[in-house]
Amino acid sequence: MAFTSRDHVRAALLALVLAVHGYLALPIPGKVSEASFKHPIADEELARWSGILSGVGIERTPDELKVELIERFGGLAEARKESIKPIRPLLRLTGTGQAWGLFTYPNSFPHTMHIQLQVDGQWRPLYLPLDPEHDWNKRLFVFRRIRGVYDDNANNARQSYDNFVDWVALMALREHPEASAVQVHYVRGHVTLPGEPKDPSTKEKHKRVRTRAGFEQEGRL
Amino acid sequence: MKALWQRWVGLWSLRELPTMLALIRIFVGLVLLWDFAEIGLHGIADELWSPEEYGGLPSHVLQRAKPPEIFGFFDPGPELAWGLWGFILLMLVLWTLGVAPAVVGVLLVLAYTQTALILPLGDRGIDLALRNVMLILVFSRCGDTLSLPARLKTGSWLGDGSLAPAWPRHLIIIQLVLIYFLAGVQKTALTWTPLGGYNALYVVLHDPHIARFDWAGMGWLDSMVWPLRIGTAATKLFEWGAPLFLLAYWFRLTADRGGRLRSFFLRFDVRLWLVAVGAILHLGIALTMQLGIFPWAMLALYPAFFHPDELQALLARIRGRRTE
Repeated sequence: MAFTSRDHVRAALLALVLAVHGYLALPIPGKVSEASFKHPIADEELARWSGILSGVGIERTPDELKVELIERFGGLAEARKESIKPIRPLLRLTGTGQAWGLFTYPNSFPHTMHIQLQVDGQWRPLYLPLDPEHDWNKRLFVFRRIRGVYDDNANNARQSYDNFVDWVALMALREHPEASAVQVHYVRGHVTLPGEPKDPSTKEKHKRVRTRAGFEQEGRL
Repeated sequence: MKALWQRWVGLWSLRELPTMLALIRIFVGLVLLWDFAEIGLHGIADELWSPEEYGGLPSHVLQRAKPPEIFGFFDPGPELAWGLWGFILLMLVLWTLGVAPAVVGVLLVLAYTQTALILPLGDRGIDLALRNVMLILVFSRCGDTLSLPARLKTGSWLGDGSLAPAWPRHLIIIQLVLIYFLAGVQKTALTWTPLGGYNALYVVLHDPHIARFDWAGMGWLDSMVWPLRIGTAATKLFEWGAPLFLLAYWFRLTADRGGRLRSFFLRFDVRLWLVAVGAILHLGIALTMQLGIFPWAMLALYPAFFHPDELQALLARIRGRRTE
């Protein structure tokens, strides 16, 4: 079959596209540093690996494993970042790329967001995930774009979490004139594997309280 | 080397009806219309895409070294957020109808990306996948059929039946294989492996921000440990096995050559089995988890796995049965 020059150009361009995106798809961690391991899942995972390696005669403490991982992959991530610099503006403008990871590390320390309302000095639940009795604005909170905001802040709360709390509190106080304050916090649990003893311990995190008086003072309510 | 290059050029010069590309265009458009309509129904465009100074959720967006480009053209604030939402919604309607997909697609991807840049927390992997696919479709003739312009131009929704390049569909197949395979490779947590007892799904379904129902509270998870382990192993196996799709297509393209493996793949249509497992995986996710558009958006890309002639044959068979 005879091909036109257009066919050849197309094939060459597609080869280039596949090469670039194949490179982008290489499963190199985006960033490996001390901070990457500041999560209880990382501690749990390192401890499990340490146990497995010990079982085959390789003695490494979780801390030693961590240092090795940072040494081996830290530079690699940096090198990759540098190498894609020329195409990064195009990737940024088109919002494209090849970063795929779904439940890479299932969260064995899941958080539950609690939204509570203060009425007559008593806190009462307003929203609790999966609780049909406390499902205020449930459809809004399970909407993926909103869930992304509070769920990604659960482990390490950043400024967007405070913005989220302000927004939720203003909505709740407007809807409930009887309430004097709103509280948002997370409760972190621990999922142990089948066969392991259950861990009933929980940890309250990122508690924020917003008061009606405070908002009124700021002129926001 | 020359023969290899000729084969490569031949692979990307194939032509077929653009029906499957049009279906992907429509399904992707509908899934995103649902997603953006939900933003409108909740009335949250300003919260999602206004900087915190204007009461929105995104933080430090104006202080970033490189703020989103759109703020260079329009003043940030609720008006811009709702304007952006309205523009994307309009583009999605035009895209789904197949109106000038090359132009509309580019505008859509650019605007969609700005929402991701303003609030990265509200943009997930599936958004990245959809933008990748839309950008492929921009270079295709996905608007030649099942579109308003086709109807206006030819009097038929199916258009004039002319063939179009098949490479965009093949590229989407490669994209899907990359997504699955890379997702599998990156599942390095021990719970995805026999060393962690294949307990990943057991752990995931305990997350109250992810689970669709209170599976743990109902005691369902502890009584379903083995099915969940099988589900975990099957997920991992499917993702690692995703390159088999490419092998299956290669065998279909070279069906005239011999070989036991090729005969096996062709006789049992391994590709169909893989498609079925993938569809079950996504339907299972939709049933048990709340991941928004994710499972439906992935399924929206599945027409890529089929040649348009297969759809024609299926429709002919259905019509035949009806007339019988």
